[in-house]
Amino acid sequence: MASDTQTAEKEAEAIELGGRYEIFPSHPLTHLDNAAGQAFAARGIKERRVEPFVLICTASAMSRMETIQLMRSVETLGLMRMLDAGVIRWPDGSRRLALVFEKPAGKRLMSALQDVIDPMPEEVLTRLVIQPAHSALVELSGRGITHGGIRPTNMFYRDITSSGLMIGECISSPCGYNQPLLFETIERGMALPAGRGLGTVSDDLYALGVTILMLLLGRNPVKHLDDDTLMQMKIERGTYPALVGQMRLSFTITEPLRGFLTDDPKQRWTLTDLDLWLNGRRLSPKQPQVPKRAVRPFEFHGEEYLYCRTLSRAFGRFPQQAAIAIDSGDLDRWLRRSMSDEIRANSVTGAIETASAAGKTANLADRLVARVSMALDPPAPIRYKTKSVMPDGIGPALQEAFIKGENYQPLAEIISGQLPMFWVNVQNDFKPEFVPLVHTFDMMRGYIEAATPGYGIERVLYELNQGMPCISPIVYDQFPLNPPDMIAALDVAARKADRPREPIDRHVAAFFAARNRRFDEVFLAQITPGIEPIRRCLAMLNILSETQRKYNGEPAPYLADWLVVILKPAIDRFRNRPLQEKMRKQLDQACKDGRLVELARIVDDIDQIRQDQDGFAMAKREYQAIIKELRQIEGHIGDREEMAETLGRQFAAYIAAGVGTVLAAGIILYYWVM
Amino acid sequence: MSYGRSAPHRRRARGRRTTKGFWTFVFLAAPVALVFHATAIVLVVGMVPTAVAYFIDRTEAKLAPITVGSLNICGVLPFLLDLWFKKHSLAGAFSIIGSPVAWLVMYAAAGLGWAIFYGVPPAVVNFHVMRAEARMDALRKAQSELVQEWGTEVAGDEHEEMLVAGAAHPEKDAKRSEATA
Repeated sequence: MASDTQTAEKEAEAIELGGRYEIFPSHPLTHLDNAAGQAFAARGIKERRVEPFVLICTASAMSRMETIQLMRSVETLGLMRMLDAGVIRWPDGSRRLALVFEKPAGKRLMSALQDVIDPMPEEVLTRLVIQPAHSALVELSGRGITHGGIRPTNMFYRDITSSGLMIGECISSPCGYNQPLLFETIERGMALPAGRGLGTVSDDLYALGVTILMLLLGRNPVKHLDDDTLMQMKIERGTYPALVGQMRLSFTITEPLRGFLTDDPKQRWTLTDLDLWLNGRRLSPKQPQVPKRAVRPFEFHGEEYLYCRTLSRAFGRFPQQAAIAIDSGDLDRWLRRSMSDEIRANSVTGAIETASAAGKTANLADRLVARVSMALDPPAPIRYKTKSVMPDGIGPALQEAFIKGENYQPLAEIISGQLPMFWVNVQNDFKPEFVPLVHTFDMMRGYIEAATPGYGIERVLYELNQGMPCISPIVYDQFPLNPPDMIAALDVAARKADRPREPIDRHVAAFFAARNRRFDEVFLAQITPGIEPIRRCLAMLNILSETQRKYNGEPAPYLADWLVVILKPAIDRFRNRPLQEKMRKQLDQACKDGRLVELARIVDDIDQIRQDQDGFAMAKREYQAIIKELRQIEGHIGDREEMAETLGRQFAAYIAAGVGTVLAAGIILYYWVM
Repeated sequence: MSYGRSAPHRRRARGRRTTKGFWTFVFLAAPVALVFHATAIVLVVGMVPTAVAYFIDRTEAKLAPITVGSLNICGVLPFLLDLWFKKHSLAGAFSIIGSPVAWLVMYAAAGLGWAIFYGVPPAVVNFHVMRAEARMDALRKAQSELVQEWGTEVAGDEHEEMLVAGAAHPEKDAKRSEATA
């Protein structure tokens, strides 16, 4: 294994990650690839004791950025250790997330779930899997992290002698995103992979239970079943009977298996139970809980349903037909008479009433079915149109929809239709985490209803996914994770010939608003397309310059150049041409320096604007006075005959009188003297 | 409807005033002329051009008799002084009016007056127009400078009007000034 790195060193030019690790792009480690990206060889610059590898996430990977910092502090033999993380510039020019992990010396435990391996004896299973998994889960739960990826295909031998196992990484994708349905609880399994939510340690223990069973048998006991049938079996029979069936297992291992595979989260084993079991204390095995069954089936869409959960699931699949069935009143009668569940019947009635409260809108049927489905099966995800998501999974589901270019409208309607609040209301048990959840979705509803840039569904996207990079087409390949990153990313985008007209689109605006808590949202209203161009371009400049100033961002000369182009209306508003010329020269200088604040200071100087306005008003008055005088003069010299008659004759009379007076005086003087 | 007197009316009224003024003058001057008859004879004969100017000038200001009279009197004055200082008598007066030189001097002086009356106004007009044009040039230059400094917006609507009228062409002027510079 060490030779891998040595070869790579010879072959490739390394990319540095923060001066701590060297990554070798020309040396892929395909056996460590996963759905989020490709693995490559790496080498520690300072730390040489551990051999690392790096996972280069694709641009569309939905990594758990907010968990990275916590994961770096987790150090346990049972879990692939995370060594470092950061964004690097990949050889293709794009910026990519690099996750550095401890490289397992051994192979993957199972390369596919269909593989058949040697059954693992109980004591080996306990030593290799259960004990390390327990310590890993203790570490993770202590930090509030749910792994969401415990399965045999994500387990590696620590060394070539197969003396120890470790669970693979979990942060390159949302919790449970790559987890096959088999390893997910019934509730999470019904949700879309991206919409399974944050999960709990109980969900990890369930996945551990399925993993134990598979390793114990050396194969997947339900590999002949498709996901839909498997889910149906889990619901109707319970997970343990559905997976184990008639197989005979030893009493020792049955105990934790039953504990982990209990479908009721309250009855499921906890880490404490596992700890007790590992320490030799034997507990009585949990008996499988069969869900409440109706006396007579409910006929819907050609099928017969005996359980609320299966019926709720069917409603989610066929909402149009479900709306008809709900409106007919059959469901209410079935719940009260066949199911004898007055509480659930009342809850469904409440769901029908609240769905109709908003009035008859285009989505009334979908809203009605979603609410009734929730009332029928409260722990299940919210099912609305084509989407099925846990309330805390709406964020990642939205992220996935945006990244894959799918329709995100149903998710927006889930929020605007207050379905997460209803989900919380129908839960049988109140949990403290529901309070911030309700508050968050109340805020999100407000954002969705606002149409201006910086709000809308884009704002919800970045609010619900705090670690998500901005996915605006302008900066998509630059992976900006925070406002200063965004300024740098826009500076790179500004160099492209096909850059858009303006540097701020709805995504960029929403990203700034979501990532900067003290952001002045007044600017957002001013970048709406219909706004006067001067105010619009100045608002964009202010958003960018304030961000650069606040975070002491790097100089952005190309972005400054881009801004100067769109700032033309702001420069043109100054009437004084020499001043405009002077400003252009100042802007050129500011562009070279890359300081956006300087641009703002030049074009948005209130004193300068006032002086220019006053000067213009004065010049205008002066111009009018000139025109008036010109007209007067033109009128005056227009009739020359009249002027000759009046002014000329008067002047002639004055001359004659003057000459006459002088002559007369001379004559008199002459006679006097003579 | 009457908005004032018509032109023949105005002429008749002016004529009446002139006649009235003339007769007032005759009425006042007659007793003086009877006393100083020699002087009166010389004046009446010598000032004929002024009287003619008085009658042919139909304006109210009567600038023609003032202009002609100012110099006409200068032509008559030496002979009057001669009469007064040497021998103030009818014989003296007849001697003067019998002299062709006296006639020449008195009427030449009146002729000079007519020359001023007709010659000075065109010169005055030309001078005045030249001065006005120089001022207009200076104003147009100031206009161009304003447009150069503040753009055509400084002219507002006036700019368009002036372009149509051809009275001013600030933009062209500005370009011309730039080219000259």
